Amino acid sequence: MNARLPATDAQAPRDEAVVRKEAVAWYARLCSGTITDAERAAWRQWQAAHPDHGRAWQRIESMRAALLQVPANIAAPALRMTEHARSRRQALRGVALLASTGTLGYGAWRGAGEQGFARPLLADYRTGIGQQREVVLADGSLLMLDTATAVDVRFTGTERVVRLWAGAVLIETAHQRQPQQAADPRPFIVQTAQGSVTALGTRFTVRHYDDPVDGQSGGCTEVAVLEHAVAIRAGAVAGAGAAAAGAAAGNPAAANAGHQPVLLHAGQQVRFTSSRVEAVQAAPDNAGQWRSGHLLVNNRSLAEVLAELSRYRHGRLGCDPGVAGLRISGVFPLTDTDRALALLTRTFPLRQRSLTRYWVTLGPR
Amino acid sequence: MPPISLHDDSAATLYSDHHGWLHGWLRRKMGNAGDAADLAHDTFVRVLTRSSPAQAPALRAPRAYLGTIARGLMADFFRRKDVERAYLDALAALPDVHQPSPETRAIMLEALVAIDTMLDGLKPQVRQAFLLSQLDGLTYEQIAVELGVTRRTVGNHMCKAIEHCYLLAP
Repeated sequence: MNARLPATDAQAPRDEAVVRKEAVAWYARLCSGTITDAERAAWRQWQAAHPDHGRAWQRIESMRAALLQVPANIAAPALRMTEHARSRRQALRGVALLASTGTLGYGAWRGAGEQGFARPLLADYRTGIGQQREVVLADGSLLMLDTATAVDVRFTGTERVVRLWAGAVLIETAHQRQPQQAADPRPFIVQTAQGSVTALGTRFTVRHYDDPVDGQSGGCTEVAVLEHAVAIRAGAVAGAGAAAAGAAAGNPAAANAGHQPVLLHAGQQVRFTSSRVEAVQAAPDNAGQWRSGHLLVNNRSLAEVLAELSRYRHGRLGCDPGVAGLRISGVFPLTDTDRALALLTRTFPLRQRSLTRYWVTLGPR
Repeated sequence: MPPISLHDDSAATLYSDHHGWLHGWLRRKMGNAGDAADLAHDTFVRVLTRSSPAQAPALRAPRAYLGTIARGLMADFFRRKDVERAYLDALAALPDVHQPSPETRAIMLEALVAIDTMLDGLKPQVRQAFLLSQLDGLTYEQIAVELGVTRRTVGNHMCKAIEHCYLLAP
């Protein structure tokens, strides 16, 4: 897969099938979970080596964008069920359904979206589902990644920027950790697709939600401050790359957002979309608690608890509607969700039904 | 959809001679008179909106021709039904706070149908490997364990699925 082409041939068109196979192989490699930094660098080189490579990669992006249209926690179970239903019906009725070519008016495609294709896959620091990770940044700040999280870190002469692509982070800025040392004059900023959070000597969490909020697609960001304060600006940040491109594509609300920073103090929590910051609320007792690897639950519904646990677990985790409102209190391990489920069924009148390890439903005992 | 006019005698004949047959045929296949009527209608719309040369086969073997088009539409119909049911089931499993608005639902359903169409034709295990990787975020090692195959097989499955989607992606 070495793409070092002679310079003179660089602009000559390459064989479509060959380039396609190369793009496919690169993408398969990127998804493997074992890609090295050297390979990633080689992939970037390949992309830049020939215009045809860039075009082929666009096709991969379209494919990926198609998959990203629906939140994975809905798409994965739904697409598995359709496969199941189809094989069952074919077995029952012996009806061989003709493969459709898929050209029948599916014009509802939106563009690649503002998520920025494959960014989480290629981020500087990542965690998989059910993993947590701590990183000490160059300035001495501590960055903790929760499950399924992807961040880029860009420190320049004038600012320290953490770009959150997915998941949740807890940040203790260097000033907070070593107050006796001279403060770093560069602002410490966390950027998300919805806006930015500037640390004011502090400990805080930032979580990105993909889910549509109040019928608006595009997700939201939730910030909780544990100590001191942060300033929040909704709307894409100038120069924030992919985020700015998304907002610039005709979202008037995003264009005039971002003038009025909202100050958030210790013990407070707030959500914001790219167009507005919602009302400030008291942060829950367990804000940032995930860092301990445990989920602290005080009188919440089973549905909420399972929604939280499922972030740390592959596959689908749900419950029967009849028990969804059951009030739950307790401490559950996040890094071992099998044990958390065992704890739930032991402590509460629940029974676990598992289709596979990736398909678990809790029902009444 | 543009207004349909039976501008052509042969089209009118086609409709009057075979609509009853097509409706009955679809009703037997689908077990629902209302859906069958809709699809019979859609089938004729398909035939009538095609340019005239394409109607040649309709005149030679009208029922085979209508049946072929109806079968394709039926496959799309069942796909949509399957996806819709699965989508609603998946939604029902979410806590209320995450329930999307009707508009978002419609967009997501459309997107899911398109994804399902894109994945159409993949062997079940290939499809499974692809979903575990792309939607559940599993590594190839984890997928290999889940499917009980080697890592190498997972890699091959992934290349097959990615190339398939590469060609079919919108």
